[in-house]
Amino acid sequence: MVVLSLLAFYFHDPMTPLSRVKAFCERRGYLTRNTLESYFSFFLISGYMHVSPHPDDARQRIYRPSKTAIDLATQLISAYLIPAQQLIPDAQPAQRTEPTAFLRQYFSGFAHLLDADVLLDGLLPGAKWIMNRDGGHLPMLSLYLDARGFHSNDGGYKVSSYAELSSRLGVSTMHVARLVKEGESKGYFRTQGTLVEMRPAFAELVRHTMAIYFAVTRVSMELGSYALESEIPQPGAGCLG
Amino acid sequence: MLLAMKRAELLDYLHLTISNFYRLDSDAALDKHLQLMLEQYRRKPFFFKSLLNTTG
Repeated sequence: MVVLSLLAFYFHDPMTPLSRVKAFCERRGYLTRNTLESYFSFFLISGYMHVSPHPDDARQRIYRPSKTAIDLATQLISAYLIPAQQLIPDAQPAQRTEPTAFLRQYFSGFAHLLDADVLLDGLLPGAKWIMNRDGGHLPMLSLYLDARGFHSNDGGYKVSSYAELSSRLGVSTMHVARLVKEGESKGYFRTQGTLVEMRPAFAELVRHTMAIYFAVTRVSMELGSYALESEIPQPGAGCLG
Repeated sequence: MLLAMKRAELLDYLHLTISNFYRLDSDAALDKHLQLMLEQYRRKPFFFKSLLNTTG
C-alpha cells in the first residue's frame, strides 16, 4: 500500500512532499513512522526513487519514481490487467502507451479508490492474514493453483511440495509450512502427516481475493480514463492526503 | 459518470465488478497472473518478497 500511495500521490501532483505521503500512510496504519522512513530509504538507495528539495520550500523533499520503478510498476499492473482482460474483455481496453502515460491513467483512477478507502483490507478482512506477509499473495496463489490439480475424494485438494513452492518464491519452506499451519487453524487446510489438503473455503477465499484485485485494477483504469479525458476536477484525487 | 460517484456508489460499482469476476471460472487467468508475476519475482526474489507484502 505504501508503494501504491507513493505513486498515486506522485501522479496526482509531482510536487507532493514526501512527508505528506508519510503522514497519509501513517494515518491509514499501513506502517509505523520509523518503518516508513526505512522503506523510503530503501527505495532511495536501491535506485527506485529520486528525492530532491521542494523548489518552493527547501525544508520539504519531493520525490519521483526512477525509470526502473516506472517500468516495474507497469509490468506489475499489467500482470493484473492482462488476466482480467482474459476473463472479461474490456469494452475500452487500455491503449498501448508508453509506461508513464499508462501509469498516469492507472493512478489517476486508483487515487479515487485509495481516497475512498475501498481496497482489499476493507472489502475482505479475512484475506489479511495471507496478504500481509513475505511474498504477498503469491505463496497463497501458488498453493491454490498447485492444489487445484489434485482433487481428493471428499472435496479437498492435495498440495504438492512445500520445497518447490518455497524455492520458486524465495521464501523458506518454514514460511510455507507456517502459512499452512495458520490456515489449518482457520479451517482452510487439513493436514494428515505430510499430506496437506486445501479445503473449499480456502479456494473461495483465493478466488474472492483475486476477483477484488482484478476489479480494483479494472475500475482504476476506467476511472483513470475518465479522469484524464474529463475537464471536471477529480474529486477523489483532490482529497488525497 | 464514474468520476461523480459518491463513496457508496463507487463501492457498489466495485462490488458489481468483483462479482462479475468472481462468478467466472478464473483458474486459467489466475495461472496467467502467477506466471507474469513470477517473471518479475524470479529476477529479484528478496526484493519482491518484501514489496508484495500488502501493508508495505
